[in-house]
Amino acid sequence: MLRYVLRRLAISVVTVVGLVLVTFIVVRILPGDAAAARLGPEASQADVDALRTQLGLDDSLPRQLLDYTTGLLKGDLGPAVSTGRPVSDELFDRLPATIELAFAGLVIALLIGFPWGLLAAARPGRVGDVSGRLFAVLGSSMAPIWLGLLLIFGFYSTWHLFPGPVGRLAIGTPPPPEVTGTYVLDSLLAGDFGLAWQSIRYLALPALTLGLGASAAVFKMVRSAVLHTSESGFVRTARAYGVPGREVLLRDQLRNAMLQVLTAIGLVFGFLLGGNIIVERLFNWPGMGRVAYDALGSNDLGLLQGYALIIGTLYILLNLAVDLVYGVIDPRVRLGGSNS
Amino acid sequence: MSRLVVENLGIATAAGNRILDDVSFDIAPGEIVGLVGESGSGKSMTSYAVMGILPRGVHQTSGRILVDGQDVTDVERRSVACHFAMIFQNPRDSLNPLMRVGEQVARMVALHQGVSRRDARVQAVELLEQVRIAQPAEAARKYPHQLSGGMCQRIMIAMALACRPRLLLADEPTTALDVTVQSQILDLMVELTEQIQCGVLLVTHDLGVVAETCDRVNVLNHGNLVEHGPAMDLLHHPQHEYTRYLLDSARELEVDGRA
Amino acid sequence: MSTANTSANTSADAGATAGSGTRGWPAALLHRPFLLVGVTIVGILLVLGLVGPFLVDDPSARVAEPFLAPSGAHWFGTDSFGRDIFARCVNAIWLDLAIGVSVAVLAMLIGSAIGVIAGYLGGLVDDVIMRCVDILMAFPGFVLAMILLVSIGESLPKLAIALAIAQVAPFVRLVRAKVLSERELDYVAAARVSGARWPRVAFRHLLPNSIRPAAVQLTLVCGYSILNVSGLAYLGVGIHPPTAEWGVMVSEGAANMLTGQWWTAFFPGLLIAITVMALHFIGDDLGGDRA
Repeated sequence: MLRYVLRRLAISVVTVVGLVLVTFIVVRILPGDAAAARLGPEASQADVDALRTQLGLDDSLPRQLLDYTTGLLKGDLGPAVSTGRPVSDELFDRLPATIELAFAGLVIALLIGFPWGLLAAARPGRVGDVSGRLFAVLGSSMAPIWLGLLLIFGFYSTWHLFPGPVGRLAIGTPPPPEVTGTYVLDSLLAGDFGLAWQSIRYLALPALTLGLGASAAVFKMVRSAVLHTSESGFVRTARAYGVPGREVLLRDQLRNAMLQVLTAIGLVFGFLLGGNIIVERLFNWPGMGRVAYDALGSNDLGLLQGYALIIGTLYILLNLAVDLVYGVIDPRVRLGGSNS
Repeated sequence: MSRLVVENLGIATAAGNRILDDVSFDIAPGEIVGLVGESGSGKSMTSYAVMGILPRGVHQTSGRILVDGQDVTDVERRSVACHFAMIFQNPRDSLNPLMRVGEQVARMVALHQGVSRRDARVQAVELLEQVRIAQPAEAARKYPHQLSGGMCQRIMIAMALACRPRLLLADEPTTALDVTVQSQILDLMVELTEQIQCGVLLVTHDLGVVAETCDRVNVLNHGNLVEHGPAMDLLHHPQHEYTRYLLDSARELEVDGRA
Repeated sequence: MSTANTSANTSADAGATAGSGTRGWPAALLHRPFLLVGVTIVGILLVLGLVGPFLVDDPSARVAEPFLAPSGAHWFGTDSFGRDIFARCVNAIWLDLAIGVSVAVLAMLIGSAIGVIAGYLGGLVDDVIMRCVDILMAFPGFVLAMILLVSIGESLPKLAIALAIAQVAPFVRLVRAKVLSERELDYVAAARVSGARWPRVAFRHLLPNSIRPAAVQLTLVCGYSILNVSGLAYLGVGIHPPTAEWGVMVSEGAANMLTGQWWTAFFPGLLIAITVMALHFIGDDLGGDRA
């Protein structure tokens, strides 16, 4: 078990280092110039040169990499040229909003995709399976922006069931006192149930936009992982001995499919964190994706670099967590070695 | 009265390919009956059909299955209803890798005897002892990947005993095991069969196993029963051409093995 | 009931049915409704994309009042500039399919080549390549494509390259896995014994036999790319107005959704959904996963 944990940790560290290198290469080495990109085509050469010096782009590449990584170790992602504030502040301030949205999306994806996938795998070829697969294809064929627009058109413009795309709360409503930074949780902690309900209502449509697409992915993974176990020997044994179908499904098939299912959930959550950028813009959700969108508009490559780095690191941490959880669930990992 | 009677059993795939044609045989209490043939001859499917667990896309087209004179052809979950048990070729794959083996045996005890979980656990350890597992209480706490193939097959047999079986279907029970372990498992099966007077259908391609354990043998070729009779007669005086061919190839193997 | 039949079909070897492509494919298509639907939709789109532009209005000209609702004269209505949305959608077919296909083919070529090398050479080379793949996979494909594009600058070929790089990793994994199982087979040993050098063995012998799973991924990536193009367009990266492209049109129409002119974004988005769905049907079927 210890070896397994250390190995996973080592792999994660290597991947994070790689991530730093890749973002560095993409932004500093590939043809294209952060300073020129920032100032646009009409900028004078003198202005570009001045900004290059300010950003340290005139130093040698190894020197730049060294500065960049030592900064990172201190939690410093450099300055955001478009706003003047540090990149890390810009992004971390918005992290709770992004996580709240991604998490709500994940909950919706799991609520829809998980039971449906299980049902489909229990009775392949039947109504529940065929309809689920159609739903999955449909869900993964819709552009997130289009789905979001349809939801806004239906639930806001036409039926007025949910609030419009103006952010996390109605305009002018003061947010709850900050504890976690997620409004639903914070307003519950403050005992303000009205505000919590309002936050949930504002969260609903963006979360649904993210969650519907993701539920298709969850459905597919749960279905195929569980279906895959139905051919294995231990399921045949359980059926031969007359173990009731539901118990076989939950105790034998699902438990053994859990590794793949957990991995899938990690993937989906990562996808939600990154897929946010479109939904955050559409719903004016003030998260990290929104910062990245603004950075796109002002061509602030440093801020984008920080965004990519944080999203990537979150994703790697998530995978590490999944691997470790699995180490606890699976006795083959927990107790190590096959027989002998 | 015969423990098991299989009458005119036919099996086919959904696409209409026939797997088994009009196969009939019977097993007496305490008797071990062999079902031999090459791979693809339909012998495993016969055991699945008797057990009532034909894979998806394969179904029974004709025939009856009688246990102690009662027709059980349409009975589902025969293991519980008729006290059928089954053991398989790859014992480790046949056990749930995420469950302690004692728990897996206890689960069958609880299911088949309707006792409480706690009693089932106690009985499970007794069953492990019955299949000659040293330190049964300790073994019960292990996971399949911590046990050898032979041990896993003993666990499977303990699981079968938990059903108080009237009929045991053994599908190539020793094929995946080492030679020394093979005979231990076969000895155990013979002894327990004698003890609890169940009928055993032993599906195998190995004529050595048949000679060692079976009272009577049925020979299956391409879904048809070509010869049947007492094991010793059949092995020493085969009547059908196909049986002779099987015996010849087995002998060749033996000679090759020694050379 | 037919359900019993279909369920039997799914479990009775995917291999056997996949092989049936050789015995007269029109007949086989009828037994594979999802493939049939997918191929039909893509076929109709191709024909419409080829012939359509000659039959409809000029996609960039003002042909009527702005914001006309769908009608007999303007099937999909008109947008804020009075341009005919149907004409613009039809004109966008080739562009969208071309981007989707070129991204998928590019990603497959790069990914398969790397996958074959990793799988065939193994050892340190394999380790390094797979770690790189892990790193690539740590970015959501969309985010990676976005920062690449911003960094290298925007143009149609660069858009295709950025999207392709973001989709390379799954191809590497698929092909490598297949090569690992394939390289133990006799024909590879035979080629090696006969004195062929490794690039020849890898690319002439292993690659053609290992590419099937990648071909399935190809159709899916083609769909993802069309979706990603639309997402990027909404963020103002990649393809810009006034180009007639589905994603651009959805983005342009996004603001009108709130004011009631739903058709400006609805129809181009619908075409994206239908196209990607058709590609999924084809890919799922080829992948042996059929109803």
